[in-house]
Amino acid sequence: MKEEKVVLIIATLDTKGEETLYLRDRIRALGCRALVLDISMRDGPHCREADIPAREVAAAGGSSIEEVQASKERSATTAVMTRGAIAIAKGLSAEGRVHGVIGIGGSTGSLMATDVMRALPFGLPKLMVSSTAALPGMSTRYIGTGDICLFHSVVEISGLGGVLKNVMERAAEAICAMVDVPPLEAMKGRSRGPSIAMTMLGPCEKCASRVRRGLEGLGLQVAGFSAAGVGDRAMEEMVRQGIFDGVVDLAPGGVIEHLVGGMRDAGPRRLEAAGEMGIPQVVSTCGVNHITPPKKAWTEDHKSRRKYDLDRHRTWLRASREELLEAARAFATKLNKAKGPVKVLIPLQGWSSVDQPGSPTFDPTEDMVFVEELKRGLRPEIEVRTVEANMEDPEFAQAVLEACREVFPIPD
Amino acid sequence: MLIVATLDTKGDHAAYVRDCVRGLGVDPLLMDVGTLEAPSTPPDIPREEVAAAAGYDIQELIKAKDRAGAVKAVREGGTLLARRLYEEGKIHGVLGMGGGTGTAIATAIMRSLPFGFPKVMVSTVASRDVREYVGIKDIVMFHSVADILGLNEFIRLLLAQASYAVCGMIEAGSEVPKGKPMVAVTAYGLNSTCAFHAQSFLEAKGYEMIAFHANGCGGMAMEEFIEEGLVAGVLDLTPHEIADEMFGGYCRGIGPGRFGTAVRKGVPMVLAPGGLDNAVFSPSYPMPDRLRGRRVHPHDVRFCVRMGPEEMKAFARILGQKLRKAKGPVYVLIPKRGWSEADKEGMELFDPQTDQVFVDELKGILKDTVPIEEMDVHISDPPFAQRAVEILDEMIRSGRT
Repeated sequence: MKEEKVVLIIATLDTKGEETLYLRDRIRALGCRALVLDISMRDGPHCREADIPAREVAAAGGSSIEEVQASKERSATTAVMTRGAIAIAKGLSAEGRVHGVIGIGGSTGSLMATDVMRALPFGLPKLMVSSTAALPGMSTRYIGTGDICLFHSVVEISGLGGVLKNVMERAAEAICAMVDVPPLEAMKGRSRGPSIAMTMLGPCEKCASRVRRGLEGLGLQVAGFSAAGVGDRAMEEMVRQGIFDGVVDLAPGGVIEHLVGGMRDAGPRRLEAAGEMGIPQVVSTCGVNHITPPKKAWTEDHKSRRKYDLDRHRTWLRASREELLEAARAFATKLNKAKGPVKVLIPLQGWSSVDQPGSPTFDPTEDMVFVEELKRGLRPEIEVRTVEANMEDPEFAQAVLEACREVFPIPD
Repeated sequence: MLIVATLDTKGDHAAYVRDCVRGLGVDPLLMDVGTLEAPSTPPDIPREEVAAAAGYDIQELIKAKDRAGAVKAVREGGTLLARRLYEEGKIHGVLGMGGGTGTAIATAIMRSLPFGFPKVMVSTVASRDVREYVGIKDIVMFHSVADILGLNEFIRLLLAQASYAVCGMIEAGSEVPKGKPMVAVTAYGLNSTCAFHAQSFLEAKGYEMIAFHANGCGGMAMEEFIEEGLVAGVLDLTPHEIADEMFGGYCRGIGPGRFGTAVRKGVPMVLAPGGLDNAVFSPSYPMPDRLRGRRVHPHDVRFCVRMGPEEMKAFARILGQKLRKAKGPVYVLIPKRGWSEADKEGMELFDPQTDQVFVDELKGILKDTVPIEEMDVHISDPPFAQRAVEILDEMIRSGRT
């Protein structure tokens, strides 16, 4: 017999009771079990239909439903209910009792439900039906680094008319179909070779594509992540989830950007995940000698820097000597904590395609400030290998591949 | 199922989706919208055919290194072809995959297909601002998290989930069930009670309510529903978007077509001034300096700022110009005790004198062309919604006979 799949429904039954129950019944009719998690902050006639009532959610969030309902501080109560819902959903997912999540909501409901979704493992199907999916900037807040499907309902989720019913039916069919896809662990089981994560940026795309092809030739599979501050953070979350067997970090510029408040800032924990998990990593320096503070925040110092216009919207400024020193120390601190093998590879003739002879920001002599400080800070087991080439030259990709061969698990 | 991808860079991924879909018993139809190299997987509809549908020669554009021109060619051609395939009943769902360019091309194609038709876009840029991609359509944006480069188990899993999702949605069918006549209603956070009451009054009279969030995008979606002839009448209870449009507030983003479709098509409409008392701002939608010192009602991170007599006159002129051109029955209903939860006795923005400036100005503009009725109630009071429904129902009925 086919295993019964469980879909968790996250909704506010006080305002969207009828709509949620319609969705629940559709999911049931498709042969899945539906579990309704109520994140309501007020009471309503449909609230008692919840499988996991708001009372439990509030308690799991460290408060009580009475306190939540009496409160006038919306932002505080949404935080309580979100915290509680995350705790409950994570627990269910860890026990293997949830196979997919669906949320319905306007602005507040979408924010809360997607916060819960992002706390759940990658690969677990997540579908958010939202009336505010197309508003400027909202998808960024809803999806962030998550593998979330955002379904624009177009109409308000209010009143069960034919149009909304059609949206709900399609959403129910979609999530019930998605939970039928064999999950990540099962796919890993019939593995097609160890899985490697790689960060990259436009200015090192030739190197990235050569390395990818080389690794694929060795029987590894490669997932690329854009290192613009979102993809690289997502990669590290996935590394922590145990999805990858190794990391090629070609573009860890998010580290220096975090220090200077640049647009590619990847948070305080960047460059730490592979080390924490003890998986091998090969690290290079694309974008590490450039910073991208938002133009609005440019100081006189920024304005006087050497710069390179990547396109109409993006300008890379040359990092200062002090910033390079500070970044090198941050790299050393992070990499020294690594439980697995680390190789650092540095091209001596420029760290990206932006960084070549003729470019206003090309300065290989000053780059050495970073290299020397990094060598000084790293523990002796961590090798720093320099290559007399530019990041985008074939020789450099060759050197990266060689380092990969030394530390990655290569299938026979 | 129509699969849209740039087969030069995403050929392997498209082939994987094609096989996945086939395994589910659905026929795939692979459309190539690539503008760089030759396709790495054979398409069912080659890019030459796609571009030619809009009268372009793709090879010529590629030879001339006209990237923008080539993208435009496959976007326009793909849109025409997809629309034709849909009209001939040959496609029942669409799945796209891509990065920035691929997403722009595939979602443009999706936006040309009607509401209810399953549309899923697996995109590396789903987490950016998707407004221009999704627009006012029911597109599912599926964030790929990783780049769609090289096949790996994670991308395979997401592509499989997306394929299953579209196949599932095809099962649901794209027909919006034809039931009772629908009435379109606009609402927003500070004026949702009125819509809530309207719903029960509408249902009692045999209508279904379809609500639109008056947030710039929602109002425009409603105009499209009216344009497509899907609604029998309109309760535009929340023209609040005008205020936010004027000051760059949270619900800005309406186009010149807002408030124009019902009057042009002769669809009966009742308009109330819900939310015109305030403009809404937030850290991302900062308040202009010239509004400094106004009365404020805090919401969450958002806050509402009171509109003054000058704005009242301006709003009346904007709406008056539109309503005056009405081809069908239009009615204006005014609650004299406040227009939103912030403009209510005891609340920060309560100011019936200023509200009255709007009413007087509007009367002057409309003269006898459109009736204006004033009621001594707040907009959230049930009798207001009841009266609005009553008037609309009468207008719809007399139009039928």
